[in-house]
Amino acid sequence: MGDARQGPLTRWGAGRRRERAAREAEFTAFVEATAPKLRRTAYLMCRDWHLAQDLTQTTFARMYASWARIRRVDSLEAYSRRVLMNVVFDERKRRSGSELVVAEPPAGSSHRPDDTAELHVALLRALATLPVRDQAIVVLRHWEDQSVEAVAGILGVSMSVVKTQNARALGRLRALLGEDFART
Amino acid sequence: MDENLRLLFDRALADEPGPPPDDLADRAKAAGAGLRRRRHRLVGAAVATVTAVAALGVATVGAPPDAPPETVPAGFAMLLNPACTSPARDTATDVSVFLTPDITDQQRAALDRALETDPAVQTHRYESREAAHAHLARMFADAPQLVDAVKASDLPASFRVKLSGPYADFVDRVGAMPGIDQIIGHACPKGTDIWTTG
Repeated sequence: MGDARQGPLTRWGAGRRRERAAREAEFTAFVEATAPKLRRTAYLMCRDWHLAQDLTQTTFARMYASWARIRRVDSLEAYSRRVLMNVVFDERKRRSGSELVVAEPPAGSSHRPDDTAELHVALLRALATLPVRDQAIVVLRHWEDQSVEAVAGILGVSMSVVKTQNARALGRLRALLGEDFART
Repeated sequence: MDENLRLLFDRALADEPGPPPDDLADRAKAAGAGLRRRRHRLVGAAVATVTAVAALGVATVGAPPDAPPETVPAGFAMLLNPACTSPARDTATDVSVFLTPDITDQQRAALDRALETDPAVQTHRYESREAAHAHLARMFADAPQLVDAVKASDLPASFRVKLSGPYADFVDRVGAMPGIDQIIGHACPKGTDIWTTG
């Protein structure tokens, strides 16, 4: 008798647990599939592997906190970039004041990098002198190969902003890095 | 130049330490669950503060948070889609127009008409307190004690606006209309909004 009454409730409880377990597994799979790439993008934004790891974890934590709602979003990958960039911007805001961006302004300096072995170091340094949103545009466009439209969606700006800022950022990088960078 | 950039980025990433730890997902889950708990507390406290049911709200939901938001709308910011930035101004794509509890039907109708014709508004819809409560119940299905502690009458009604024009112009035109408690802009990614639900 008691069993008969408990039946549906027990089944309901089990169903909920199963659904929960499925959601958890889905999240773990998502993290495993996207973490390596996300961490590299984070690194290019902060130039510090340790911090990149933290930013990546924070991104996934924020997504986990809303996972039940967001798991059906059209493009979770683009969505994760959006959350990452928000995490990066927050981090920058928190640090600004205490520490200004690292790179010395190479503009006009005589020792321009002349072999490509150093050029990638110089590139990251030059990138760091750009406004943070421009850094995001350059990294998403030229490292992640995201389309103009996708970048606009991720950063919540118009496509024309992405195009003009991207062109300006590349111009700035070219000026900082010199001719070697434009060639090759 | 594009390929050159990619090549250089590749090279810059060459010193990558070993792959992310296996337990990254577990750590993110632990931290994410903490965020969720904190958010529940903040929302609970926000509601409690405004509706003067502090004892009920805070006691049911948990320890008092460090800095409870002062208004229900501010508390609602905690409910947001984490991909949205709030408050947002220049980049706002969505707007929540929270209404005062004593707004008259006439004022609401006038506001509805103003939104209908405003050039910066793409779409708008009214969300009653009951609808807001139903949202809350859905979003916090995993925290029934929170949902129970909040009554529909504790929540503000609002207009949910999708913008097609500048936020600042919109606020200039609409902001001073009677019956509005608070306007909050949100910058949300394409295809989602502040209430994106699964």
